[in-house]
Amino acid sequence: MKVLAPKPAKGSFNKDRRISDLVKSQLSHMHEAERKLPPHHQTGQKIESIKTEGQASEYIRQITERLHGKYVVKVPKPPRSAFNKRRQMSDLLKSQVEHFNHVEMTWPPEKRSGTDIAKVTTEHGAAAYIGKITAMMHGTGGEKMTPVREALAASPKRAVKAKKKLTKKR
Amino acid sequence: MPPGIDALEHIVVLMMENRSFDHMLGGLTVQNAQIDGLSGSEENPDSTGALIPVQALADFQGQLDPDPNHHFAAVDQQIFNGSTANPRQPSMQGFINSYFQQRKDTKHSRKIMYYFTPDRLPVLTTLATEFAVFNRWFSSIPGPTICNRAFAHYGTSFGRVTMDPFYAHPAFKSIYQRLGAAKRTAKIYYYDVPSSTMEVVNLLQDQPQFFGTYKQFLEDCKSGVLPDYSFIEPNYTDHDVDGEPQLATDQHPDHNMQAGERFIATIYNAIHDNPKLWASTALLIVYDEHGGIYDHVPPPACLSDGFVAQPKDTGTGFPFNFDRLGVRVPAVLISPWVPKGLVVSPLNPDGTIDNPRIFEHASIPGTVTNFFLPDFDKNNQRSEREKKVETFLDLLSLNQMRDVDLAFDTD
Repeated sequence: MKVLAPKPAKGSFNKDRRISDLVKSQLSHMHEAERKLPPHHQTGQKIESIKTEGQASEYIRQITERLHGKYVVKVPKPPRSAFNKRRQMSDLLKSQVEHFNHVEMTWPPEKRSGTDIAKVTTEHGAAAYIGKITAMMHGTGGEKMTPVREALAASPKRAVKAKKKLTKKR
Repeated sequence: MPPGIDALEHIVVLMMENRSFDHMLGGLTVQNAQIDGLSGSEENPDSTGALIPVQALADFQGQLDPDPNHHFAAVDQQIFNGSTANPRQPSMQGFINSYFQQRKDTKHSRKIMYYFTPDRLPVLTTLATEFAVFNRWFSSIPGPTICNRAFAHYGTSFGRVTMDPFYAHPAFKSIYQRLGAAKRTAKIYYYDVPSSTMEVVNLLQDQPQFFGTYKQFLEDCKSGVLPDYSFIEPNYTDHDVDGEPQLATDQHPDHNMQAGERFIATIYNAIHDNPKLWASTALLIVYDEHGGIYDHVPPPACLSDGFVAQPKDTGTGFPFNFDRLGVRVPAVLISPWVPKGLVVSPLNPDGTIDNPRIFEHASIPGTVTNFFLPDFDKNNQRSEREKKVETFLDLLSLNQMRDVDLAFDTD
């Protein structure tokens, strides 16, 4: 047997209907759950201002999605003024430059970059020097490329070890 | 074994720069009392003797200039405030006095007590509240970057407490060497060539094959070919590449904090956007040390790694036996197998923690080695401290993967 369920009349849809006590309760339950969300996931909406079913359903949708963990957090961009490549190097960057220089000084003089690190004072200068030496260590620095094995052999301690190895092989 | 561990194929660690737990996450206590952050009543004396409370006034840039001192002697002052008692108890009362030494400006020195409200750092605080946040993750040494990062790579700093270049002791292999020798895969992804790595003397010099770039990391995530273990270094400098400005993303003072937030977001998105990778990866975000910025939790004693730093290096007039950890730092573990909003070692209402689990940077190679190389200790190639350190993969404890549809919009 097939029972025909009549369609509601067109005029029955009314999203501007005032919310019932049931929906009011649902809103207050949703609001309670919202308070436990991290502050930047909260809508900031006062539920007392929600008067219609349309407004209520929109609020309930937002909170339900957030409770399901479905949310996109907008991450603000830093202002353009944040960029300052002429900023003086921090102690950390000074140390990083010194570490790269420590490695470079183990290379034969003709393979070195010729950079005087005492003149490297800014972040941009540090990046230029560090980039140059990193590229050389990766063997992608063009003409000044120094094969790592050969470069290591220039370190006095390592040179002795390398020499011993070579002598052994011979 | 929990299914999250069964599914685990990749561990990724992102190590940021120089921010304390309270400075970054201390404001979360207001919404979750289990998080051991700030009540607002924490204070330090300034150079006039006035007690200055913590304040939610931290800004993205421009406040912490000059860079707060965080060499060993300065951190000793921050923790002990010049106490000569025997034994000394860490009071965490010397932060303003330490910062005052640099500019002799009382008003400016109080800024070391500033912290961020959670809405200012939406990425880190969302991840901390969505996944697992550690109440007790400390830097390994009460000192600066290089020796603290060494603990993340080697499980020891070979007796170093300074920023000077040093050579690794051949008895202790780096986590990359260990994995490489076992035919596993590992990579350090630095941001780009001009930013490069902090691990130059021992690893880049001898083993450049372990290195890749951030761009490559994003591509590896997309194509699902991430190594077993990845360690990511942020951009350490403002510099140009082909005329395009590259903002430092490390959050080291005085670099812009929002640039670091966006960097963290892109790392998370890269893993999350590949469903197979997301299900099989644990991402740890951690800071190398506190950068001289206030935290209220006294660092605990720890097992020595067998080395001793001499007074000429500590600058305190005393040797250091590596028997106390450094200041607490933010640490967040991210995986769909971690319960939502987990606080590791939660704070009780009376302010105590039951049997706190103490983590430090040696927990990184400790965890990675235990997971990928369970038979490694037959060769005795790591420190006793690392062998006994707290590890974190048990936090992937869910029986079913969570549906986490969190994404960060960085457009």
